Order: sequence, then structure tokens, then C-alpha cells
Amino acid sequence: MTVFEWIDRVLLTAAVVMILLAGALLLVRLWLGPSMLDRAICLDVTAALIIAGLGAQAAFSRDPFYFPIMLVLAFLGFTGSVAIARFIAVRDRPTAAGREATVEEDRSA
Amino acid sequence: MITWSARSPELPPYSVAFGHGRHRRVLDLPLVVWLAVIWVLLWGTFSWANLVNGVVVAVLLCLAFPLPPADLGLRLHPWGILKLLLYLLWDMWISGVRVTKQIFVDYPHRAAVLAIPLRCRSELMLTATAVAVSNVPGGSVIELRRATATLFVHVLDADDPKALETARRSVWRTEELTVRAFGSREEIARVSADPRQEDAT
Amino acid sequence: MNPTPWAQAADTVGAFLVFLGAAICLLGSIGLVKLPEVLSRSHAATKPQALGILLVLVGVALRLRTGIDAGTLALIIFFQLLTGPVASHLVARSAYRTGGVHADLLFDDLDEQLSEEPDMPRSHPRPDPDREDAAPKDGPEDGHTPGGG
Repeated sequence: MTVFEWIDRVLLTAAVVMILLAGALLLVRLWLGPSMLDRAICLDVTAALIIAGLGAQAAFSRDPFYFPIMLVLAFLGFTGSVAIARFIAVRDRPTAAGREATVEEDRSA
Repeated sequence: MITWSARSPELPPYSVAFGHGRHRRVLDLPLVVWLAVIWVLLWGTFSWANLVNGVVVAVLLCLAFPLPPADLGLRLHPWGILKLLLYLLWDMWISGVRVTKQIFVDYPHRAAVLAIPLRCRSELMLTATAVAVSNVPGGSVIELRRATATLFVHVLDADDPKALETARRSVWRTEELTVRAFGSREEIARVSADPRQEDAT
Repeated sequence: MNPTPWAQAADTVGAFLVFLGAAICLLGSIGLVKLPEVLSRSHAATKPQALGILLVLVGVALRLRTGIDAGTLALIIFFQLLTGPVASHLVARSAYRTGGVHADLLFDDLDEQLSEEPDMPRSHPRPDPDREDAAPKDGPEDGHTPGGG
């Protein structure tokens, strides 16, 4: 293994580790909320991170096997958060946690 | 029976119409080419059989599910598209750095919603501009008024007047480059004007 | 097996681009956790969605170096860039109209315009997002949703 191949390997491994870390941080935001819309944004970013992770895998193994999956995610990754933004967020309003709920009450009073 | 779009002005450019009355079908050739390209890319290998199959499937789809024969006003200018892509890359990088700074500097930002009047009027151009603006990290499009062609953008550090001016300027620049890449001739003439004058009227 | 210098350079540059894209994804996620409210977070979310994916996939294309794979990757980038704004716009619009973002804003050009509409009195600053579907479109002043594809 030459020096360059070694560098490539280190860079790609670091990339995968960073994508995993990003996913973990995303889970934190998913857990914290506070509103359904935050989670919708998280859903979008999750799709992006999965595409990025599969891309890193493809770069590592030089294998286009997972490209159709990435393509489908790029096509349809947005539908989930659109559905949340369109339908769930509206129903979610009365129980929205924390400050947003109080602001809501203040303004409508 | 078969009409080529160069001979009849009411057809969209590069298209073929045939049939009469209710069975009249318009084949948009760029659309067929685009669908065939996607077909080949989805199969993942290029072969002539693949290409021919793609063209056949695309033509059958266009015949079975006809689109209304409307001219969207989409024109492709290759040099303009290249310039738009380079500008978007540069803008993504620059505003990515700026948003990163805002993430790590811990002073309370005051965000605001900024109304930016656009100069183009066609729906496709407004949509393309909004898509281009919201792909750049600094721009989050909240609302787009078609009637007044106004874009409402969420700006992160609105307590800095210079940042507001930068946001306005970058949206106008994106708009101009988008229309120069995809717009018809009259739209290009429209965006060549100074946005300030449009603002005053 | 000894790769040519050019192939080696493309490999290393590709790996570096994948690394850079992953770093941008990580920064975007940090922003998603740190920023205070929904609309600000959507700024940070754009970064992994657009720039991060772009860099990673260009890096992959540099490492694979075949025409058809580059085409597929270009298609992935194209659709990602086209569909990302649809979702982020709908989320931002919904957040603006249902959430309590108004109190945090320094100024708000859209609120004035919404309040000027006759069918929307001042006492209800945050109308239902489904209003345009429920009510007939009576004037030209209605929101237009930019949609891709």
C-alpha cells in the first residue's frame, strides 16, 4: 500500500466517522424537538446524511452498487417532511411545548 | 398531419404535433431526450439497446399521458448555466462559512423577514430563483408572492444593516444569473434593469 | 499494480472532497443543535443538504471515473438540489404561520403584508396554513408555493 492510498483510507474513514457523528447530533435534535417542524427538518437532513454516507461507502469501495438507492432518496427524501409540515404541524399547535406555546397564548390574548 | 414546430408558431419550440381534434398529440422533443437520458442513467450501463428502449418508453409515456401544450418559457443558455453554477458554488461556499461563524459566535442574533422585490415576472423564473436562493445556506425562503413578484427571505443577523444589504444584493444577483441561464429574451431584458429603479416605481 | 500519477491525484482529491463534504455535514448538524429556533435551524440544515452532498458526490465521481457513474451522480445532485427547497420552504412557511416566531424577529416585512389583506384581521396574525385550500382564491394576493420537478 502506497502512502497516497493510506492517506485516502484515513480521509474516507474520517469522513464516515464525521457523518456518523452528525447523525448522532441529529438524534439529539430529534429528541429535544421542541416542535414537530424541527423534527421535519431533521428528517430532511437524515436523508441527506444517508446519501452522504452511501457516497462515502461508494468512494471507499469504488462500487456504484448503491447509486439507485441514493437516487431514490434524492427523489423522495423530501416527502416525509412535506407531509409533516402540511398536516401534522397544524394539529400539533395546541400542545407545542415550551416557550412557543406561551408566546402563542400571549399573542392571541 | 405532422407539423414541425418551426412551421407553426403556436407550438412550443422543438416539438412535433400530429393527429387531429381530440387525438391531437404534441411531442416535446427535449422532454423525450431528457426522459431517455434518465432511463439510461437508471439502468447504469450504456448500450444502444438501452438508448432505443429509453426513447421508445419516453415517446409512449408522452403519448399516453399528454401534457398541456403550453410553452413554459424555458430556454437553455449553456454559457449562462455554467456561470450560474459557478456563482452558486461560490455563493454556497461563502455563505456556508458565514453561517458557520454565526453558529459558533455566541451573541444573540436578531433574525428578520426581509421582503425583496424581484424583477422577473414569469412563474418558472420566479420558481427557479426561489429554488436557487434556498439552496444557498444563508437564504431561507418563507413566501413568494406571484402577484407582486416579491420574495420573503429569513435573514439571520438582521441587526447589521450591511448584512441586509448583502442579502438583497445576493438575491438580485442570483435572480439575474438564473434568468440569464434559463429565461426567455424579454425576461433577460427585464432583469438587466437596475433593481433600485424597479423598487422606486 | 502501479496507478498513474493522474489517477492517483484524482483518487486523493476525491477522497479529500468526500472528507470536506462530511465535515460540512457535521457542521450543519452542530448548527442544527445549537441554533435557537426553527427558522434559524433551517439555515443550518441547508448546508448538509446542498453543499455537503455536492462535495461528497463530486468526490465519489472523481474516484470512480466512469462516464455513466458520473451521469448518475449528476442526476442525484440535480434532484437533491431540486427537491430540497420544496421541503425547506414548506417547513419554513408552516413554521412562520403556526409557530411563535414573530416575537423573536427584529422586523417583519411579511407580517405587514399579511395584515393588509382584508380577509385577515389583525387579531389573527397567524392564520391556518390550509386557508388557501379551504377558501376560494379571491384575489391575486395569495401565497405561491415554489415547487420543483
